[in-house]
Amino acid sequence: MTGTLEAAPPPALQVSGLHVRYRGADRDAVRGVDLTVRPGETVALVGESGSGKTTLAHAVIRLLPAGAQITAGAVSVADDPVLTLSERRMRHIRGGRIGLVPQDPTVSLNPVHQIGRQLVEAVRAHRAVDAATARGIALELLAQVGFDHPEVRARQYPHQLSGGMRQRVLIGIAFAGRPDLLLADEPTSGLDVTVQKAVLDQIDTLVHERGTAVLLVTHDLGVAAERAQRIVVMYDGQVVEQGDAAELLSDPQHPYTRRLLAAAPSLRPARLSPSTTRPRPDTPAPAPAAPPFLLVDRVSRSFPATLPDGRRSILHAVRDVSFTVPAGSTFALVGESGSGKTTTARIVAMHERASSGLVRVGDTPITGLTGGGKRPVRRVVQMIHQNPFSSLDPRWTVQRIVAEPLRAWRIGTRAERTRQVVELLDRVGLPASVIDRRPVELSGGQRQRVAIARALSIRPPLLVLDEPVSALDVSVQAQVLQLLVDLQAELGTTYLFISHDLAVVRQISDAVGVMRAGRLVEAGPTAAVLREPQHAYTRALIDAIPRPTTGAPA
Amino acid sequence: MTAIETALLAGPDETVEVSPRGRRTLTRYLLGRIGQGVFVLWAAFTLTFALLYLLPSDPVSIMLNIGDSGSFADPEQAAALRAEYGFDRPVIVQYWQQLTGVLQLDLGESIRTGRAVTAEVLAALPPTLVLAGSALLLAVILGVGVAFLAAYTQRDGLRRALLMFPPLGVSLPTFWIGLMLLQIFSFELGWVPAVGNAGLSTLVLPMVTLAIPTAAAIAQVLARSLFSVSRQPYVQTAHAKGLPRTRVYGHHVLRNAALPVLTVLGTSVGGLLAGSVVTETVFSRPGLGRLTQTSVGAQDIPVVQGIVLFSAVVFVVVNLVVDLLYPVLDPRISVHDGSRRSV
Repeated sequence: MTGTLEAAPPPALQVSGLHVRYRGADRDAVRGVDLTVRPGETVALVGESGSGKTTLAHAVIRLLPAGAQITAGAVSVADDPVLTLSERRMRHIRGGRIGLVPQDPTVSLNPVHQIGRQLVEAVRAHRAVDAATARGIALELLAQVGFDHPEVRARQYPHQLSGGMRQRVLIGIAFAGRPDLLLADEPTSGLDVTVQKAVLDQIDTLVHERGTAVLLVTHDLGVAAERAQRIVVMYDGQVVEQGDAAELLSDPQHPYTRRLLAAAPSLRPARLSPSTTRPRPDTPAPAPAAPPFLLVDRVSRSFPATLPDGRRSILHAVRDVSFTVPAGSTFALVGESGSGKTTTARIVAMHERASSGLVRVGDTPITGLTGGGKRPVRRVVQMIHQNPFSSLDPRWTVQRIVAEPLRAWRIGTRAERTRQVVELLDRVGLPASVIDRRPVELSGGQRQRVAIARALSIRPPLLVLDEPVSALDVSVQAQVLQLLVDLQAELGTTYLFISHDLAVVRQISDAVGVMRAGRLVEAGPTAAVLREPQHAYTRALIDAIPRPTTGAPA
Repeated sequence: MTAIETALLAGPDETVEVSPRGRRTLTRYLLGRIGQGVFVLWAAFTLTFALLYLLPSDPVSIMLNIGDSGSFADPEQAAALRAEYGFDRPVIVQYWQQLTGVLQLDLGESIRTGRAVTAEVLAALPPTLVLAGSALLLAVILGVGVAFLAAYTQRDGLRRALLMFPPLGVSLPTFWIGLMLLQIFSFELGWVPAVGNAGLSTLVLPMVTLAIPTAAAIAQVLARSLFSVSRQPYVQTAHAKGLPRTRVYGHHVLRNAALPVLTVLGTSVGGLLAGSVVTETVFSRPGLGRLTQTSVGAQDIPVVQGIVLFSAVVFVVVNLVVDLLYPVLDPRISVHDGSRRSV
């Protein structure tokens, strides 16, 4: 590209030899990164947590956290050398030349100001217009990012909007100063898959209308493949590979790229099979016609509730849900936030009472159980939670966490329990050396492994997994999913798997149920449901799985 | 578990069906809060009554000893006084009489001066209001100023220097600050008179003395709040819009950080009243503090009781106002449940 540089306009973003170091760290978080985004081009910056991709993005707009220092390199936006500009000049770059779409929309809008005001402020920071004109532009922006009744919406506060809506507001803010470059930093993390797709589509539309260049930071190679013309792969602070999206996907050079590619759930449609490296014990695979181990029959759950404005209401969380799960297989419940899938899981795990209906585990009906009657069943059903950062006691060692269920059930002596913990840790792929560590010293993936080891310690035949991988990076997700598949093959455990993401579900489940507004709208074998979805909502979920745009230019 | 907790625990994973029944209004909330306030006042009255009743002192002998110390009172005269004031009746009757008196704003008469307690308190009020009001204003300006500057500045040295003041101000005793100010500005420099209540020149030192602890408390709470808010993602959004630093801090950070300060302000009113006792004594100013000090010294029980009740009223009213201000500052707080909704 150097040959055409004289004739072409300057790149929208040029990063060369950039080094960033955090105070107290013994090495740079970003080490000599070179990156170019041409005008109108979408470039995806892909890497896992800690790869330095977000640090790089913040360095470009000079909003690094206190304690981070750019030690070497240059950044230019169009012709402006970003790193040497005064704070005053830098203000025109922020918002005016570079628009930022931040990571977590739920905390990225000021909670005490109306969204209209926050948009107006962004408009007026870069355009010399009076208040009324700015308000007009802000309402127009709201309409462009997909709000109906912009003049009503503008008076709403962030907490009155859903996560997806808030991200639309933030996209509006990012475009308010008519930037040449959009910096989208994991713009869809924490959003439902269907909302993710809508948000990314919204960005695409605006970018195409205006010819804005995009640097899309993401940990999901699937998203990168679908949205970008070029992909830059970052690992451990360095760019390990970059190139045309289609080429990079079809012929990855670096082993890390290959690993990311294998991990992306959207690029790997088949169900995972147990890895062969692990010796298979004598437990045989379950017969396909096994009797149902878990039976959920016309289960409903409603809550009496007082709304924040003081009115009484009834929440119908789950309505008339029925399904069965054969022993040793995986049934996945899929749906967006508010669909009732988590409440259903909590009823099966006896953390929640059913208002009506029957749940049977093995031969035991568990719906009528109270108090002490529940205790024996707890050995049969264990639950794994979404967030491994808050489901482990931060003051306890791994040893104590994993041994707790054993202790509670008075299984073995102290020495035997310690031996079992080491065995369990080995089984979930953790080295014995973690036994004395505390959760804060472990990564997210390691913590979820500890949670799995704890749940498995008393060998429950049924495991309820509530979004067990959605808080994890895709590469770590893949490892944990593989572990779950391996454990199921070894131990014959039955899984009830809760997820919002069909791409994950198709990797692990034999059968799937799709929930919406408290009802089970569709259920069947995973392959069949994916191939011939009956319900419109199922089709929307399938559509939301990112697909690589094979070599399509801008 | 309350219904609202259930609704919060149930989280967003639900569908909602609304039945339009029983809308709690602001009026109803206010009536409830005023009811609570009345209860607090009743409790304060009852507690002081019980405490003073249990104290080993006899108001009648105090009355008779005024003027001619050492002389023993005539037992008949004492009995007559006892009957006049009702001290000879059973305690429950005394309690009931005093309570009905309070309800009619009749707090009895001062043992020391013989004037009505309400008149004594009202007479002492204006100078204290001027002092406490100006001290509060100064405290807010100083406290907010120091905290905001410490958060706003990008020079580490200045920030560290500014942040040294609040812990110092909180830990220095009021009387010591007052004496030091007197020593320096009245006796050494002779800029302002040391005592009295003669306009602005005599107000300055007591005002500063009284303001410093409150200012320090405000600065401590606000600085911490400002630092934590300035690390919030929405502040990054504000920076990324290209707003000037003054606007980011003045418009986005300060407003969000102000809430804990409001709570401090509510409680600091009590501190100001307590501080006025020391301050007015040190600077020989008339006022509620001085009245408290004299009345306690003279065991003038009706006046002490009147001051306690008055302070309780001030406390209840100020905290009600603070609670009503929360939803104005933060739209996520509704007066109906008084708590911040999950975000």
